[in-house]
Amino acid sequence: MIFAWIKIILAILLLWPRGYLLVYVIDRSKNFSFGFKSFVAFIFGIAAFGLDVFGANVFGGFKLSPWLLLFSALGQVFGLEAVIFFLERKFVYPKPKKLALFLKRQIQNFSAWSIWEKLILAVLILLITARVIFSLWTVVNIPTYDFDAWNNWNLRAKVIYTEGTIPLDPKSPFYLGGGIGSYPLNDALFKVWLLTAAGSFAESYINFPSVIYYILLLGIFYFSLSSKTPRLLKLLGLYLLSGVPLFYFHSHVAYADLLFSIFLFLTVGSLFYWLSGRGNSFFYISGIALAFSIWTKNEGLAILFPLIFITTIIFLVTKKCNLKQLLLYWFWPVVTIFPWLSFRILNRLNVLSGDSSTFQLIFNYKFISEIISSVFLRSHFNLLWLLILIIIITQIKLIWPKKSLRYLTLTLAVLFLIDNSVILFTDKAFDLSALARVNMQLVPLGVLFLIFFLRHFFAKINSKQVQ
Amino acid sequence: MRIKLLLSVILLSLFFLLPGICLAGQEKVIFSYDILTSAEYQTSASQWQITKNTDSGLYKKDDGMLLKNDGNAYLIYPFTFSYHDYDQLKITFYSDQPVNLLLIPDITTIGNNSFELRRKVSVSENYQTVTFSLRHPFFKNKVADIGLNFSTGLPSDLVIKEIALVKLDFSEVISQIFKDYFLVAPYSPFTVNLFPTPRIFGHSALAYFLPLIFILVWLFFKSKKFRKIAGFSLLLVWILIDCRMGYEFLVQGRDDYKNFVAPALAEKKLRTYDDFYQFADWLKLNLNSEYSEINFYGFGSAHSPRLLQYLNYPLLIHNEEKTGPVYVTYNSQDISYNETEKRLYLKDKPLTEAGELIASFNKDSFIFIEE
Repeated sequence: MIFAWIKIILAILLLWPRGYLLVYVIDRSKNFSFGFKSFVAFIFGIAAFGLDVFGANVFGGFKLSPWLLLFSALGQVFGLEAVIFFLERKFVYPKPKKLALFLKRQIQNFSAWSIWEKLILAVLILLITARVIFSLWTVVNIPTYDFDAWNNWNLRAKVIYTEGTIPLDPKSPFYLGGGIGSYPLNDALFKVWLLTAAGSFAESYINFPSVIYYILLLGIFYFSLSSKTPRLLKLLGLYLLSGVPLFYFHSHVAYADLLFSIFLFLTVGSLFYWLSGRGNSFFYISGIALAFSIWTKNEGLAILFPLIFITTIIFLVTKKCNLKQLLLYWFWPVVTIFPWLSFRILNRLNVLSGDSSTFQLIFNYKFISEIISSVFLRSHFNLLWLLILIIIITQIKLIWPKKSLRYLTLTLAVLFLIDNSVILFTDKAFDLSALARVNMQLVPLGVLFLIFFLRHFFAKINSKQVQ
Repeated sequence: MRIKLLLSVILLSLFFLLPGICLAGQEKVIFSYDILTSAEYQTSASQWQITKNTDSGLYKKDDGMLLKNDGNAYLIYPFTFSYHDYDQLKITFYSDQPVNLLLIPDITTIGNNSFELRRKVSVSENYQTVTFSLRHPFFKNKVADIGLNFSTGLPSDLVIKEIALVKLDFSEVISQIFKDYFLVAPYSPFTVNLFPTPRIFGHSALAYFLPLIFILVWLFFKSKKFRKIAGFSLLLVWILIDCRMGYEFLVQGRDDYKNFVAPALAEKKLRTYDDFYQFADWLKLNLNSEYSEINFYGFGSAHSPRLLQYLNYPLLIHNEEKTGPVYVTYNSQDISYNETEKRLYLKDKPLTEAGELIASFNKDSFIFIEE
């Protein structure tokens, strides 16, 4: 058992190098911190690995043998190293001396923290550790329980692992692994990789990734904040994000919403950082994250893709980016997602989760009170959406002149309205089961908005005081 | 000026609290041996009724009344009241089987239902008192009747000593607020989408704090003097909610540990699916691997065929079909094995050809294979 867990941890670590090199290649302007690159590397490694496996199995006809999976995990390392050599005339490899220097710098930085900051960090680390331990306890001890976990996400991973291939007969109840056929396979193929590494199927193995997604999202969020952001504000953001109840709850539920929210955060948040003047690398990484979001959940294609498409066109029209940048922004995501997108088109998979051919506009007025209650009044999101709503309404004059914050506010508002409008104005609401979950996907962006608004607000106050 | 203000506040408080203080402690017993045997009750049109049970009688036992429960009996009483009249329903009883007790307002018409009106009561030989807060929207307007459902699954003997409606005093109402706030809803398949709790008096708890939150946000943005205090207060509210929700996770974890992780294999029960996961494991062990598909007849959750499909893949599950020779039932009382004909019957009609009962998980859950 312990040996199986060691192999699972190694399997996750094996996906890191290719993810790191991919982020390294994207970071042409050298804008990313090492911490940011390291955490994004895991999540990009997972998604890119899954796409390779999908392409090799579906288009190449290769069975999902351990060797194919291992090759998919490591093969691209050589390709990406070649790209780096072509661009920089060097290879990227682990440099213990540089790592030691990096760690030394971190320790030096930490020793400059005030006693209060150290104390808050210590409490926060303890709190997050406790949360992670509880989630680990749950995934290890409790088998798959929640509806979509056994009806879709874990079912697909189990079927694909057991069959050693992705079932491609559209008439079979286990087409693409079973469940709803249009669901993308990012989450499932990562789980197949972990099961293959462990050598057998176990509920604890298949439920484990949710905890990984939670940890990675916290890491990506924290290290995405610039060094100019006050430390206490960064720690506050980390605390707020780590404990938003429904968001934390999904760290021990085998759904793909948490994984999707990482890519959503990277897609929208990176554009925000780019607009804040953090460099072009953030612009391009947003596109790749968008591609991976399409590979993770249907909301990526149905909601995020059109929104980002319109946003980038607005950037071009308002001359925030030029045509070359725009084409480059879209070229690599299209190449990245091509295997899945072409498969979707060829096999006429639905854009939405259910049957999207009979989409109708209606007004579900009876859901209004439920939406208000679910988003603002229950404790699913603590005070998050309530505070954001009040801030947007009362502080819009402060937000509007700052273009990056204006972009984040508008994007957040549009995503929020689209997500809730699907429930309110279409016949796809069914039993409101997705209502709180779609708002949960926006939580990291919501916390990002809160932190940057506070930073902007305090900066404004301080500048007034100085005057 | 300040004294006047203080006096006004005290008078205003008394004005609102007086009715509560005057009525506090009032208790109306609506079920007891003395009441049920009184001449007034015998001639009254409002009498307790037992439904969905073979035996509709109540019998004297100890100082209470015995209800011989088939497993899912309802006790119904036509009585009109609202939460303005009474704040709490109190029932004192014991049972020889664990009981899922449910209070149902307007049972003969709407039959409202909420997790706040459910209690799990353990087996006991001594009386236990269970209380339900009536400070809930279901009791805002006058209810026409109430029902109590005693779900035990297996036949059981219930001895009820007393059922009473109680008017609480002010401090008890305040303590009810805390009890409501920390009441954790049981984990259900819907929890992944939303948490029903925390609630106070049947409404989302946060709704009560909205004015405070609005004032704090207003102070934070508008008042230089109170900005720090308002900011810290908002953070404190956030931390309070964080602690409350952390408590929710811990309670759910404790329940999982108590019901699923700690018990011996045969006694493991997972949340709403009872022993279904154990049944799925048992099926894996007892069905020969030469069989690749089964006809499944389950009872209880509509999810069970799909859940079994996940748990026992690559075994193919056909829900209530007649494909292949293997029939598997789970808690299905409609299906019985006829020993003389050696075949399964679905109610009165033969379901299968002659065959063999391979293994039994319990009385109503087994594997049958046609010859």
